[in-house]
Amino acid sequence: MPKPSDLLQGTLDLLILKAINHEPLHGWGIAKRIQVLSDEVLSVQQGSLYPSLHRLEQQGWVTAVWKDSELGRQAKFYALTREGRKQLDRELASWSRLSTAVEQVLERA
Amino acid sequence: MRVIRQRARSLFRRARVDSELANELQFHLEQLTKENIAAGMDADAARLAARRELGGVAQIEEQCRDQRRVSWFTEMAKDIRYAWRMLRKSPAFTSLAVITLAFGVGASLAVYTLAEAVLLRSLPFPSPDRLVAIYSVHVLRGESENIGQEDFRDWRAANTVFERMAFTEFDQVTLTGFGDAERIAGTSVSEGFFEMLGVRPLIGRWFTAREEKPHQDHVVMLSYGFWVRKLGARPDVVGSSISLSGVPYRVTGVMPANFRFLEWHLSDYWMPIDYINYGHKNHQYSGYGRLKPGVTIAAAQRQMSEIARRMEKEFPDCKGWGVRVESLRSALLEEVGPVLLVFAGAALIVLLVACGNVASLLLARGIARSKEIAVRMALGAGRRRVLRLLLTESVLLSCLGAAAGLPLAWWLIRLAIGAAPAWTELGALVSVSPTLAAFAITLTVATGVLTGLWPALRAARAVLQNDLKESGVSLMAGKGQVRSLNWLVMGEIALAVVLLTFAGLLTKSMAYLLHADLGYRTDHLLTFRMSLPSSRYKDSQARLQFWDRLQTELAGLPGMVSVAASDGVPLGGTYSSNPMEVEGRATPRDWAQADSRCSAVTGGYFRTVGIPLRAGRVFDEGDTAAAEPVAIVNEAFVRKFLPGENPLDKHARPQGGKWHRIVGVIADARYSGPAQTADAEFYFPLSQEPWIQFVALRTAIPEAQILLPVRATIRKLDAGLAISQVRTMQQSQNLATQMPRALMALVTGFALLTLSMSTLGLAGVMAYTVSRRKRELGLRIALGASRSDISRAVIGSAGRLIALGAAIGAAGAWFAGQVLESLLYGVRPHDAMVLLAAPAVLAAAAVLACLVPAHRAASVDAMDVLRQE
Repeated sequence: MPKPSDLLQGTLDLLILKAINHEPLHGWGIAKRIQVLSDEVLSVQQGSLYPSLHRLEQQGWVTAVWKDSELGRQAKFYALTREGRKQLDRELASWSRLSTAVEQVLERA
Repeated sequence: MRVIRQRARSLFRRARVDSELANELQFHLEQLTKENIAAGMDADAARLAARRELGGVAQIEEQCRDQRRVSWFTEMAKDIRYAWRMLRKSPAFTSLAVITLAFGVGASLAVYTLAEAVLLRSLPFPSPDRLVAIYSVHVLRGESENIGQEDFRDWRAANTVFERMAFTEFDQVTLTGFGDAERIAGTSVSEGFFEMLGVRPLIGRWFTAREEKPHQDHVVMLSYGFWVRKLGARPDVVGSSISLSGVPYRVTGVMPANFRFLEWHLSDYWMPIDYINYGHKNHQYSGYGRLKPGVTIAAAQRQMSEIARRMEKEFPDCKGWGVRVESLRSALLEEVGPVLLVFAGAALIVLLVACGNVASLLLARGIARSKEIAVRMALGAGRRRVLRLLLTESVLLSCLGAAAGLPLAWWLIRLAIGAAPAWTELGALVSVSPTLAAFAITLTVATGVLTGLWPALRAARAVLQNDLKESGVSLMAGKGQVRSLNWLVMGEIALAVVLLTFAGLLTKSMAYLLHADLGYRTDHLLTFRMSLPSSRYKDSQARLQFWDRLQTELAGLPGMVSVAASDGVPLGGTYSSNPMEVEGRATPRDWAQADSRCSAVTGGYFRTVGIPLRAGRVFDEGDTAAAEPVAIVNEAFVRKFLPGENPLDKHARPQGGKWHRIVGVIADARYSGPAQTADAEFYFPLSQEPWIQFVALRTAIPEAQILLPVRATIRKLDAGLAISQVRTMQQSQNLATQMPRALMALVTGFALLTLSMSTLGLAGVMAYTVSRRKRELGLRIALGASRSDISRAVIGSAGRLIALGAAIGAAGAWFAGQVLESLLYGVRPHDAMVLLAAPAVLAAAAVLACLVPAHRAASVDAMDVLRQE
């Protein structure tokens, strides 16, 4: 298995918010989802996942409830709040701005 | 909203949040393990691999906690609890540090409270910065004097810089109708005075324009204190009448409680000024003004100087006089500034030395604790975390110190209130304000950081490997740390020398004040003020008759030696002075070169007060009102007006008065106290100028015992007579030297405090170095060094510190001494003896303090040490 790329600083929040955009997920599920959707290229370090989730919760962008998981025990499910949706839009916009800019530089240089 | 709820949850349901987090991570771990098993590992290997992949659970948990943004709060609480435990574990260190800091913080708090009271609350008027004092300046001498009335009117007419101007004069009356007759002091004010200040009366109203005109209605405003004390704060006093010097005055209002004005005396009342027009001659009023908005002092000064120059040309009496405009705040600062500055400087030195001392304690402790700190860092505490923990400890120390310093501050403030002149009403000015609280908190935290920062930085810089090793103590003490300690101690010694020098100078000045030859005897001498109201003692005849009866009665009292009356006594506070003319000599145009104190005294006055006669005779029964006018002068008068001549039988007079033949010369006396030089004096016989203001009694028994019979005698002759200022000459002298005495006591106390702190600090550092060097010393002894060599080496290294610190301190004292200039009498700020003695005293004390550690160093047991190696 190739060494997963390090996540760009600040993009983890974006990925987490995007991952739970459609349905609430627990931490494990979020990590798995990001891994799967990126074709195993991105692997979320647990050491940064949970602090990030904690921060997002503190900011009021995600909310969490304990409920039974598909894996047979109680897990903490994270869902976007209204504020979180707005934040996701903001982060998406700034991400597309950034990536377009980077692409332009790579093309024209 | 959600954010607040989240934070509150993080803060108050910490255990719940933490257990949820643990649960969550546990779930993650389980999933990882399952995945690994699915990939074909056996259960144990899968669990291990999962653990490895997840990383340190504790670290993740800590990082999560950091994300909660309340961690600083919970951690601070934890730090405080931890710091408190550490402090409690070493009570000796803690109490020493707390006491030391208490002195520093307490002294600084007291100074700040007083400074705020004096500087902020002494001028309770709207825009006080526009208020100015206006003086006449004698151009040649450059001295500021009171102003003349006509000068004032001309200035007011010509200037465009002042919104309003006013002048005042000291006034005294006898109050009757409230128990014993009483002499009270007040202020006469010109029209526009209250409007200039911009204050409103508490009740009633100011004087009307008609009432303010001289010689009109008898009206009076009362001070709040007088209203409460004498009239029971009755609101219906407005419009009622009180009797002042036998004349009924209508009360128009009462001043607000916080009203005070820089009058250099306490006022019980204010009344319209009742003056005689002396033209431009008599400089007797205090002038004030309120600048128009936007006008600077400099601009006002420019215009007033120009007006004064014009007036010099126009009026002969104005020749040689200029004007000075000074903000009231600067006038106040001029008066109290030097004392406050010295007090503040002394407190600052105490604070700095206390901080230095505690810092060196912390530094030494930090070295001893290096292993504990190394363990913390090895366990994952960041450098900043350790720094914060150590700073929390020192700030906690300074908080405890501040709390312990509060009673000291309170005591110092009471001391200052007692020593300050009564007119300042300092006690009423002192209060606890928000700014004071802010200052106290800032000072406390700053003290904590100041003491703790350096030691904490040093401790957090510890090298892990070295400190973790079991025998982390190297052969020599950590050089850097010992050097830091040395610097601290040297700084303390230097500061202590500065303060000791100040104390020495003030003590020497005080000794001069106490032992200066005043020219009169201060023992067994009682004086009091007693003036005969002109409403009942209408002419000279009546006054003299009363005095003759009183004198006979008083002289007959047991224990009485002699009795005299006069219109001025030494340290009595009031005197009159006049420009003099001497027969056959040109009268100097300049007031200052022509003036002499003038007073009327009875024949027994010089014997009673104890001023020796130098030539001629004193007044006797022959000098009656009908006889030839005679006078007695002092030696200063002879030097001033008749240098090198025999003054006897020469004639002199106050300008415009009758000629008097000089019949006697007496020795000089310092009427205004030891701080002043003797002025020229000119005495008339009371029989020819019967103005009685004071009575002086010389007794054979303690003065206090004669007081009751004296009061009874006066009451028997005239119950309506007020006597005031009843003081023994000793009390008067104490009163006159109250401020310098208090300042000396304070600075000396502070100096001794810093002396003991810095020498103890030095001894502590030496003891610490010796204990660190025990091994090295043991080796030296084993290798043949004698014990006296060792103790000499220790004393020698201390001696270098002492010498350097003392030298720096002496240099500092040389420069800082200027501050004291205006507070010193009979000694210069660069007094060689004091400048040499202060470092010497400190050096002696410091060397003494080092004997114990030196002895301990010399008695190190070589075998013991070697066995430990």
